[in-house]
Amino acid sequence: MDMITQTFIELCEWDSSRFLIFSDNVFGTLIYYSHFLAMILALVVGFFVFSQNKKGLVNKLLFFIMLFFATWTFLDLVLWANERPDFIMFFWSLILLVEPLVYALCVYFIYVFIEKKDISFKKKIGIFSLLLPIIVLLPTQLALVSFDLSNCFREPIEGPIATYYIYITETIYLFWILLYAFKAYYKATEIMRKQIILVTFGIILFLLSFVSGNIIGSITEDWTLAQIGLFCMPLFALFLGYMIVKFKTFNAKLIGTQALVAALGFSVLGIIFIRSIDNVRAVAIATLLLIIIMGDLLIRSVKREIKQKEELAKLNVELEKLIKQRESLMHLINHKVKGSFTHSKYVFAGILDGTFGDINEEVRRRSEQGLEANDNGIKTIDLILNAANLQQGLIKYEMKKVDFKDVVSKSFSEKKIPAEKKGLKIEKEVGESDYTVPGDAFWLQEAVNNLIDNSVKYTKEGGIFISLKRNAGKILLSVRDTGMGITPEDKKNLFTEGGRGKDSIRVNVDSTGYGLYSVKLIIEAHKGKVWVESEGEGKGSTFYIELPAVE
Amino acid sequence: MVDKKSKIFFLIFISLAIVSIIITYNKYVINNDFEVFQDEEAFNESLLEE
Repeated sequence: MDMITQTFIELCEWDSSRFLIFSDNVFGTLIYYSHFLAMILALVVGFFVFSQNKKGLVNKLLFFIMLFFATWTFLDLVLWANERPDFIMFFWSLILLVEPLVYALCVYFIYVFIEKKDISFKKKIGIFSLLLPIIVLLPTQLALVSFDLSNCFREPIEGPIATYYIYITETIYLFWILLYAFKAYYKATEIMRKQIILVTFGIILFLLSFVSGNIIGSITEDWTLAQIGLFCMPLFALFLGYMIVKFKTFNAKLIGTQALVAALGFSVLGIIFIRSIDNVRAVAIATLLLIIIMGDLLIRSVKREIKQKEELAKLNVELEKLIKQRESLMHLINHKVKGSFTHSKYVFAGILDGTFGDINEEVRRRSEQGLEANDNGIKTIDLILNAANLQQGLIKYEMKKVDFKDVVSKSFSEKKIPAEKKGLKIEKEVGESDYTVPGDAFWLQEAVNNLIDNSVKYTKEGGIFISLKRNAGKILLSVRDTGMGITPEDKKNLFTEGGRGKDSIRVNVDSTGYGLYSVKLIIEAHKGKVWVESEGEGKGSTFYIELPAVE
Repeated sequence: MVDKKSKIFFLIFISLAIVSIIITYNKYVINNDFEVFQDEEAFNESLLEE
């Protein structure tokens, strides 16, 4: 700088800044208040959202938006406080770059937020290429022409990039967001529409917080009043928080509390240093607004939580009542229903073995049918009672070393007769190996019986192929059938209580939905796994049981 | 996940921005290479008034 310039600067009597941002050149503490508040809130929101899901693109983008916004706020504060023309020229240039960058990131953010995936490469080029002229021409006079010292002005004279291009670019970005949101709104579902409205409204409000400062300042020449723009930042945080609570996008309750505490703490701290009574009033109004907005969000959130807890307690009482009813129903089934079945079983058996005298062929046939139906009834009751006992943990397993090959062979022999009676081919393949597993032989038998029984019941033609293998400390039993197959939808319910395929009743009228559920409970109690694979309806299924082998 | 093409694009973009910032810093802060607009006449007048 030449001597004349130095003299001019000295005559202007500007205060020297400390740590770039503290000096008497900043008139009104409100400027510190608005800038620090916005900066802290932006960083709290940004870091919190990022910490929730470090890999999520939406989270990363929001983090960068908040980080660059905080940077912008800091740079703006430097320009208010600093007295060195070279610093002002440099930091002013940085603002020219950071401000439209926040806009560009907001366009990227809204795409990813609505589409729930990254945007195409072409769109990225489209969004960010608008910034290239600013980057390339930043050090030239097209960005900043000179430093204005006349009348002790402490600001640069802007070139066409700063005066026109940046505002045009920011307007384009704003319309881009609006048009895209408008288009997405009409294609979206009802729930998504609410999210689109909120996120668009929040982002537009946030972006306007930049321009409003310049507009208000230029029109009114009151740059303290222009700080109102920055107070849009808590409003944006509110919208974000509302979305988080409402749509579980992020975790808003915590973020809302953190932001409120940080903002209130800073507000109180700010008031201590304020000298002018007018500024105290402005800060008090801003703080009051913040308390009303954020406090309302938190109260609603707490109210909702209390309501949910009350509903949960009510449901718990109902659940306990249902459990008691279920226990009493089980008792009734076990003693009364099963007792009646057992009684009629002996009556039918008596008729058949001639206890009640000679019978003709028709009576014999009918009695045999009655006896079979009785047996099925007793089996079904046993299955349901077993499942209930297994589920409640009432079964005590006697864990010993069990040869799983014997278990499978016994089930195979038992189920061979009903399968062949149905015209099905049934085969078994057991490789030479040691199949000893730790377990309860009775319940493992029950599980394998149920699994093979299930395949026999749901296979009309073709066959059942059982295979037993040992691989790396695990024993794998597979039961493949050429039956009705399983749809992906049915697969989800198959091993659940009362769960069965949608067409299972059509094929097996005695389907209880408890057979495979019992298998799952027994195998999991043996630290094993059970699952099914099927290529779909009509294409058969393969059921697997995997158990840890004794080493 | 951001694809490889985008990563390269952002890398070039960020590099360009950093280079531009360094040149700007060099120009304004190190070399003081900027014109200062000063209305000397008005300034002298104001001094006389004082």
